[in-house]
Amino acid sequence: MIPNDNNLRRSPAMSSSTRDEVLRHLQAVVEIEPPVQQTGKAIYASDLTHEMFRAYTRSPHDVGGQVDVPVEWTEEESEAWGYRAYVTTECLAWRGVWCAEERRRMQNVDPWHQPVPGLALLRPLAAFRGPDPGGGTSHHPYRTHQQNRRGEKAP
Amino acid sequence: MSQHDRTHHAKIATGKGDPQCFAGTAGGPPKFKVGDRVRIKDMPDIFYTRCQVYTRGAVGEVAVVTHESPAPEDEAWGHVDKSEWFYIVRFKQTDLWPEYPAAFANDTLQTEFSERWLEAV
Repeated sequence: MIPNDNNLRRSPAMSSSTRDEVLRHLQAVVEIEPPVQQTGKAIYASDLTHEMFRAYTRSPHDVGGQVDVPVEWTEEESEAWGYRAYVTTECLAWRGVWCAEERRRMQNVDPWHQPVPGLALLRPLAAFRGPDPGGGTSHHPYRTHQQNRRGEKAP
Repeated sequence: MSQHDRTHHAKIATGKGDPQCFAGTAGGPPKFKVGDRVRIKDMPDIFYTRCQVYTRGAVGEVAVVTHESPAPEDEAWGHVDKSEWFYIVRFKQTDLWPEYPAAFANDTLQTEFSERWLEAV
């Protein structure tokens, strides 16, 4: 849904061209980063309107105002695993090990903010270290487990 | 290779604190006073801003004149030679969010801006 003037509810007390543009912008951000994950597609350059350009170039530090789905409030008690994970990350932070919580506190950014749709699909590549250079347990993409380095089948 | 001195900020803030170390560097008195009605300008930003987009164009009231400091948008690019006054501005929530329930019409939101983002109403 491309945002337009028709599906925009205005506040009668605060209506101006700037406010209209800001409210359209907040709807355009939903186009790129929907609160509920769904398959999106990159738009063509000819469809890149002013609203969509502003949504793409929104600073990830600008946190607030994003549309979200209603969240059901539940009374939860702290659990042991959560406390242990908290202590672990605190100790790692004391030792200077990078952790997401520390980064979130230092600069209030959304670590999974994706300015380009589909970029999150490349996330597993960050952990891919390439094929094993050698050894008996090599998982080379062009060799099966049953073959050795010379391509001979294992007995 | 960047020759940026990463300790320059610590050098001027040590013993005084931040933003106290920038007191008196704005080059004049604050442009607005507590109670003034101000509108948030919608100026372009790139890569960093601390002026939330959802406040752009909204009208609020200056709640506190806080301190002097380089603007975050300048500091992000390493420009700390000019300082500005900072203000805490109070908005009505119903002015910011069109679908805010009328039952909570007295709710307010406060956030901080440097002087460049404000214009008198």
